[in-house]
Amino acid sequence: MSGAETLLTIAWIWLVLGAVTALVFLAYGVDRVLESARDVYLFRVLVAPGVILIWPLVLWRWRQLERGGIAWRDHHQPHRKLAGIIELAMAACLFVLLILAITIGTHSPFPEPVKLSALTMAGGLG
Amino acid sequence: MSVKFEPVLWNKSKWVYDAVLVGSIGTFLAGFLYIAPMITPHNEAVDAQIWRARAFGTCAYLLLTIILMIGPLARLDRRFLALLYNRRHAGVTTFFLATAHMLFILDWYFAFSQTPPVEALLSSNTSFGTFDGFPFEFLGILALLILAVMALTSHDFWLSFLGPRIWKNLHFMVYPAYVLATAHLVLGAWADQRTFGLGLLLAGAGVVAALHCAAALKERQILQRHAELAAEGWRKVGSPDEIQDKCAKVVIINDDERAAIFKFKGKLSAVSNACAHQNGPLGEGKIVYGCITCPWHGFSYRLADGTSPPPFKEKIPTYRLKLEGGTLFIHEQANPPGTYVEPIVLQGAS
Repeated sequence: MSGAETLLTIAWIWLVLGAVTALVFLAYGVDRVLESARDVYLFRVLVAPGVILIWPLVLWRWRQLERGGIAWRDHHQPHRKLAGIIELAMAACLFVLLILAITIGTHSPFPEPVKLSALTMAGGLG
Repeated sequence: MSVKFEPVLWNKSKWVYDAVLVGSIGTFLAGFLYIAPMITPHNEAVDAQIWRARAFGTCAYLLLTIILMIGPLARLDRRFLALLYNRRHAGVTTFFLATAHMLFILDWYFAFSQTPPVEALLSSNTSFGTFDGFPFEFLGILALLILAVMALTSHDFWLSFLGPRIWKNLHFMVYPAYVLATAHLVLGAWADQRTFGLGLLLAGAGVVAALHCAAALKERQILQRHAELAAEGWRKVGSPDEIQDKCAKVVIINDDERAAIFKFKGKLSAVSNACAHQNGPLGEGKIVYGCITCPWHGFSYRLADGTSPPPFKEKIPTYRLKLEGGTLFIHEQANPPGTYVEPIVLQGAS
């Protein structure tokens, strides 16, 4: 089995497990942990693809909510410092990529194309 | 009881926002698909399918660039806040545009592959160890996967279910997604073509980086300045907008001392909260006939010098105020009763 095949098989298994999780969670679990979800159904169709994609996080959070949720203080403390670090890291990466783009624009890191002659083609084929 | 989830929440301003978004995208795609081919030199002409892939890919990248500009712009200038509130629909649209880009690519380059198109895409180039011909497609796929997670977890349900902290951490992934999309562009289209249009797109990435740095620098400067002012005895009060006209905001100076900051005709003045008569709470009073009026017995004081109008002679301490970057500060050291302090004139006040 090639690397690509393995990757796609893993993705397929991931999605199947996600679909099972979505079915159980949206039919049964969501009503237990979220009052806002009770007696409303259309939104479940919209959120199902998300459950399928990040099902391990959904299961972890479902378990956490069933056990009483999180400390209220954590709920009201956004990661301001983390946001600043990630934004500046992104800016640094972008600057590096732009320098790379300028380098490619002036001195290409890729080899210049070789003009084929009848001789090289014959040698290549021979 | 709590608010029930709805599939999509729209209001009038969101309808306008979305109409502008869809109209702009439609105009961009129409221009790219129907006008650009007409002005492209014949020796650079490409098939319609490739034009479509480029149009949707360019549109997705451009939209993501604009989305990432809105945050720092709003932090630098409050007038951009209006754009901030409905970024969610723009983000979901970016995901759909990027998906269309990938489908056009698969349908053109791998349509006749003997293996399934996605498998062919993943196995066609695996030269990860070399810079020359790096499989930039993987970078695009990773960016698309992140955009998918973000788009599919954008509903209010997710914010409620995961909680703001986890949800926000999940959505921080937009930054790596943008870096991956930019790397995809640099190592793919830019390495191959280096056109003026691609150069403009990359310049947009430069603007995104510069805006985030500028916003971070501004916030750092503000925090430093606030620390300097605190060391000089200035206390942060908040925005002047919090104070109603002809009313006051009471500020705690220490256990015993309170100051009342009054707003009147677009000007701000601060006096002691304790009336000279029986220490009544002046901050709970109002401005009557241009004077601060105690709610207990009606003793009156002028705003600028805390002195009762003649023939009365009562005086109360005043405080210095400072307005910096839209934030109001009060100096914790009270002036002797009756000291004149020039009122702070708010912008737009006559």
